[in-house]
Amino acid sequence: MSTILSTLFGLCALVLVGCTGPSVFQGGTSILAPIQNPVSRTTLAEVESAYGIVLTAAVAYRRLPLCRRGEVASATRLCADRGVILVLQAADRKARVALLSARSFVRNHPTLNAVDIILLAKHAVEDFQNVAAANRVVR
Amino acid sequence: MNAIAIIGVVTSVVQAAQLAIEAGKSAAPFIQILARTFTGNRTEISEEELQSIQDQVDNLSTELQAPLPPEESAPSTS
Repeated sequence: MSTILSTLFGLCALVLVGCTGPSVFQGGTSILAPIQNPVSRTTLAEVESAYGIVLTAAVAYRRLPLCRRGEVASATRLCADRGVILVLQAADRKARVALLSARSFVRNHPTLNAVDIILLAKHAVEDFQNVAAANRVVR
Repeated sequence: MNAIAIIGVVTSVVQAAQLAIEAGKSAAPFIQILARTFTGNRTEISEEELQSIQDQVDNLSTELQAPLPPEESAPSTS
C-alpha cells in the first residue's frame, strides 16, 4: 500500500514539476507547459514590415503640398491629390482592422497557430498596396 | 524649353529625390526585418522588436489619417 502511495505521490510530483518550467521542446523540463509560437510573432512582424514600407510611401505622398482645386500634379509641380489621399485613408482603415485583429490574437493566444488570421492581415496589406499602386503612389 | 521651365523641372526632380531618400530612411527598420527573411537569416523576432515595428506602423497610420485642410482654389491664370 505504501509503495502504491509513494508511486502516486512521485507521479503527482513529476506532473507538478512538469507544469512549472518551460517546455521540454524549448530546453526546459516541463512536459505539459504550453509552447510559445515564435513563428506567429515573426510572421506578423514581416506582414507589419511590408505594410510599414508601403505606408511610408503613402505618408511621403501625404506630406506633399495638396493640389489646389482643378490642379493636376505634373513633373514641374509635385502635389498630392485629395481624392487619392482619401482613398489611401480608407484602405488604411481596412488594413488596420485586420492588423489589429492579428496583433490581438498573437498577443492573447501565443501558443496557438495564428496563420489564418495573419493571412487575413496579409491580404488587407496587399489590398492597400494595390490601392497605392493603382493611384501611382507606389510602383 | 526655357530656362525657368528647366529650373522648375530640376527643382521637382530634386524634391522627388529628397522624398525618396526620406522615405528610404523611414522604411529602413521595416526593410531590415524583411531582409532577414529574404537572405535566409530568418531569426525569431523578439517581443520588443515586434512592438517597435508596430509603434512605427501606428505612427505612420496616424499621420496618414490626419484630417485634410480645407481645399484651396487654383490661382487665376487671367
